[in-house]
Amino acid sequence: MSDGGTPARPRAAASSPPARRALAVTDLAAWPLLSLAALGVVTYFLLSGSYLATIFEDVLIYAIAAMGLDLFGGYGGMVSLGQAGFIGLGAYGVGISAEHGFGPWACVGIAVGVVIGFAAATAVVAVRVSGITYVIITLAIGQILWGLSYQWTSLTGGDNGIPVTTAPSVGPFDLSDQQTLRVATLIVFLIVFGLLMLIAASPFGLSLRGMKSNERRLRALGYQTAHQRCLGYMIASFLGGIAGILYVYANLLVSPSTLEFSQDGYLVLMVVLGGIGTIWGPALGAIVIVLFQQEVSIYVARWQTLMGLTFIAAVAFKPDGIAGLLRAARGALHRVATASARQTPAGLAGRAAGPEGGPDLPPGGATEDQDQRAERPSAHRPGAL
Amino acid sequence: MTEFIVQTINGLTLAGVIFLVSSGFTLIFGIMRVTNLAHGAIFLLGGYIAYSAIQHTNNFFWGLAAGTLAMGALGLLVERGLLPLLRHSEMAELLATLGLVYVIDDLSLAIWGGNPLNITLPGVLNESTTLPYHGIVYPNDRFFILGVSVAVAALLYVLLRRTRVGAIIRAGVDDRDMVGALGINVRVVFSAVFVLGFALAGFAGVLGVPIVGLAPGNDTTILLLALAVVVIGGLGSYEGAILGSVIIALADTYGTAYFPAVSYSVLFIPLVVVLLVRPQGLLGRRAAL
Amino acid sequence: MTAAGASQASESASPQSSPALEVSGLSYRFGALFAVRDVSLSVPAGARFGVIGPNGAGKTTLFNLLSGELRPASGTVRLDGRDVTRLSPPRRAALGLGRTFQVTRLFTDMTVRENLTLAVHGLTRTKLQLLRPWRTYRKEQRRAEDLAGSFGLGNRLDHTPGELSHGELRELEVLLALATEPTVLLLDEPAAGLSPAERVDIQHLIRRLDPSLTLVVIEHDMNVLREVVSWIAVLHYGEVVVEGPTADVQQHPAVREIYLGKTGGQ
Repeated sequence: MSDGGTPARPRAAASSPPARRALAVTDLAAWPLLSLAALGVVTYFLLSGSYLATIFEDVLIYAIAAMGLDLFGGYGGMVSLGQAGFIGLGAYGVGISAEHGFGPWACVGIAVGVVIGFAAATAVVAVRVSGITYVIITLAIGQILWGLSYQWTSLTGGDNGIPVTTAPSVGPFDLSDQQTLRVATLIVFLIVFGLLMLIAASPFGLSLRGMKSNERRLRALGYQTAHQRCLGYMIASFLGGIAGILYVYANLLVSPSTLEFSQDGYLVLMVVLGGIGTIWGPALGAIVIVLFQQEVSIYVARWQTLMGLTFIAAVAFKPDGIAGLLRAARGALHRVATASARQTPAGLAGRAAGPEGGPDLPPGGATEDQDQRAERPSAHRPGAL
Repeated sequence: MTEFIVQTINGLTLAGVIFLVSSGFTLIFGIMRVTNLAHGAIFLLGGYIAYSAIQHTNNFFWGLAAGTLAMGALGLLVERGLLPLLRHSEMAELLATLGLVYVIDDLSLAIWGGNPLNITLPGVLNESTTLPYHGIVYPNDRFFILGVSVAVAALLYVLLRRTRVGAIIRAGVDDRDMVGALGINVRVVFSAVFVLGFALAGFAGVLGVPIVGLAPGNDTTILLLALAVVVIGGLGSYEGAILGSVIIALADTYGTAYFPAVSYSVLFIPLVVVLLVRPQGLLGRRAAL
Repeated sequence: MTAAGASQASESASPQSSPALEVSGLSYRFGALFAVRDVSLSVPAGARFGVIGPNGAGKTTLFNLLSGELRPASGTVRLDGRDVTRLSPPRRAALGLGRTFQVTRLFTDMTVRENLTLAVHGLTRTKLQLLRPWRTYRKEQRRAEDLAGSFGLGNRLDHTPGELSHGELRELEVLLALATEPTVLLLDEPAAGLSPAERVDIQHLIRRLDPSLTLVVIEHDMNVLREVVSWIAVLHYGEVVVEGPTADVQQHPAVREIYLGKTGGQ
């Protein structure tokens, strides 16, 4: 914590602003205009009928899976490298049911049932292990599913996959129509987003953060952490499955490539690039990754290398991702705003307006320390990785 | 029965290659607690570099050396250049290696293309031998691979169990802080282990081409097989890597031959079970994860 | 080992049907080494019970056995007459057991308010509530604010532990444990790492605790312990060597010997 040359104003206990705390859901609330603008942009392109529409549809689908991944991973500290497996389960659930002659809504129902059933059957892994072990075990489960999709050709059609053409209808709205489906996807995304924000702000969400922070303490306070892990795992998996159902209707096909390892990786990239632990950050991360895949790839043949390097840089230097950048920017804006509003004699007289925020800032604003800390890699950074 | 014998030998030769890859992985994890998700990509890249070296020199052994040394050098680069940026956070290190996978895969695709490539062993190694048993005709290159794997495994054993450096490494797996406290220059040891781990993967990547081929996508398969091996055998355990390699390679080989519909998936069931029931693996000494 | 009911100070006057906390024949081993060996203690309700011993005597292991983080090799733990030996820490918390930790274990990346909120919801059914923000639970928030306020942390609610002084951190440790309204509270070296001035504050806090709350306090500093407890058990190499009223234990020659002749221990 640097001090610089400003006269030492004692850090008053009562009014000094909160120091660096973990990124939380509420950071989004500080950017209402930005959020609405982003939503407006997405909606516009989604309905535009241009080729960008499919891109943004992909963004929304992956965002649903990524945000679910973040609830348990970023909030609860249980990062999964197998989320694509649940996307595949949802998609294949629909595809295989359709092949066996079930009606569209029955297919959706069966897919949901399969996803929930598989999640319930495997929830034990979320209860018994954590950390790196959990990463590996979810990777293995995802690969088990991939292996089945690839090798059990009599059921899944193997490498060819399963085409799906008939989507259900919601009243007068036929989701087989791509445009209608896009609107439905947007609606599902907004519902999921709202629910996740609520969950993150709920006592359960708080307990997930507590579990990541200090599970032993949490248990001493009466929390049966096995219950929380089960619930977190099921929610994350369920959302992966929902994304899978939307995926198969949007792409009219499900194949093993839907749940191969690189897909698991992309989802984790979205979460980390966007801002792990924020829920909304991964939605931004989804935009970045999908744009890399669809747009950057047009201009840069080696877009995967660029994406990989960007990701490594983010992990090394900005582990809070885009959400962290936004928060730092907000702090900077705050300081600019208050510095120009206040023209104190000390500030004007022969001394540059000190970079240190100190107690002059209203509570809730970022201090220079906070941003300096965000710039400087430190030994232990709670809330990020 | 002859079929079974052939499959068994196939499995054992595969086990040799997988052991080489896994031993590197388990050393890196055991000492440095780094889960190197790029280990499969290193395997692949080693093979590709050897391929190019062989194109230029027409000599398999130059290719072997090139693949091994290049990957060793990459290991040094990663250990010195990338890891210090990651503040010793295990999750950050794991994620960084994930990013590395995309980089290596993409650059490999750019340089060597998407089609499967081939490396043939020189001379007699490229031929086949008729075994006295039931007249089975078996390719020599597999015997060579198996022989080299066993030889390297023996060398590693001597290194780990009979040298001072090996003792330091084993101590480091058990208790990293203690080794530092003993005044041993752990930085050098760690770097050496990391380089060795990468070099082993590169070496295996060259050696394994006649068995697993040389094509994009291999890296994921190898990574997952290596993960299965080290988890079952015990992270940080050399003997566990041997045991795990044999189990996994045989399971994969028999599975592909006799139960093709589920052979890949079935491989991971032991991994999941072991992680749930005995997280330290069959031969690991503590819950290393 | 008779109950400490004969000693002076803060127990309730009515005869107890069963002690608030009772341990018999408790043992725990690390390999061949007994960390705790055949320990039996009986703590009546409302008692101020101390456990002292040099470092490595097994005090924290004993606490971990009491709170359920460790399973004993043999022996039983009873909470208000009920056998809890097989129960996990959350289950024991639900039965009224609370504890603090020697190394401060707070939720360091969350604010004081969030820390206390977690604690306050700990034994309620609302902790699994998914769809209602925790800030809207007025009763629980008021409880958290009152807890903080009554122990001097009222204006620190929006700070993180990183900004609190060490004394405030140890206070918060105790507050978290109090939030679940325990009937038996285990304090693990509450004065660890505190300056003399801060030690006085912590002693003050402990003395202000509800007299009906049963306290078991671990310390290795006799000066701190004798201010807050009326009965002490001395642990040495995992066994109880001396037990009795504070004054008696202080003078006991065996205790002096254990502490290598230094007065009052250290």
